[in-house]
Amino acid sequence: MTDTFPTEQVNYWIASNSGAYSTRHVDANGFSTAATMLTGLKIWYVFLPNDAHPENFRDETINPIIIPMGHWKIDAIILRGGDTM
Amino acid sequence: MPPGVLHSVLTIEPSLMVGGHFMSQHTLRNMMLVSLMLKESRVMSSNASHSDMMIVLVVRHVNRLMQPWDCETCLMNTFLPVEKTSSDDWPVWLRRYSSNRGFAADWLAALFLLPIVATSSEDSDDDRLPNVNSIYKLTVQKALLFIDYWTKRTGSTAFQEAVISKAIAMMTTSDG
Repeated sequence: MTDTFPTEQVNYWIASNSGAYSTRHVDANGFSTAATMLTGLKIWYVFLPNDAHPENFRDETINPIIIPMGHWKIDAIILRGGDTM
Repeated sequence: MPPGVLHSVLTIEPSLMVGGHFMSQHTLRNMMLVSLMLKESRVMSSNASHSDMMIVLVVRHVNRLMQPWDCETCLMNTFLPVEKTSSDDWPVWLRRYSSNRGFAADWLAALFLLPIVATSSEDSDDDRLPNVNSIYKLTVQKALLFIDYWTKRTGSTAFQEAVISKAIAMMTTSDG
């Protein structure tokens, strides 16, 4: 047991081939996330709920595939080697 | 990226990314930590969200944490049942595991835990634990195969340099 959150233990590497993807999701358990690209090219999409529909953000039944476009603002961030998200 | 942000990621070119998760609380037990990590990996797996991707988690202080589980089963449960495509160029072990489970290798996401056995006496003295060191070494061997494959396919040595060298260094400095 530790009294200090062992941040080094939740470091990870992800190696991906072209076309690898993750569908829209929220990292579990309230984790914040930092990621640094060492090599390659990715597009990181961030979905933000519109002010008029904040309830969508909390809706756990939301379809993970179909995005209600009108309810979300979508930012696309290009990550190259050396970039940190 | 702060907690609770809905996101997705698309790989355009073969990539290696190092990441980390952080929380503000400082009183979590290790047991909870690994449990959370596995839970998250299953969340990721359950919606088949990660394809053609390998996630390497380097974990410390896990021999106590793995106690309730069969480590090998735990590892294999993380493979994704996703769309089947050609798998001829995948390492043999991956094809074997995937075929045994009806999974497709070429679009398989593999989660490897590369746990580093803790050196603290409270962890290492528990004889109820499985021989975790051998399991971990086997896992590392599997990871090496994948990394060799990934390197040949992408022409990049970044994976070895960033991941395996560090993981092995950590292994050799532990009691494993």
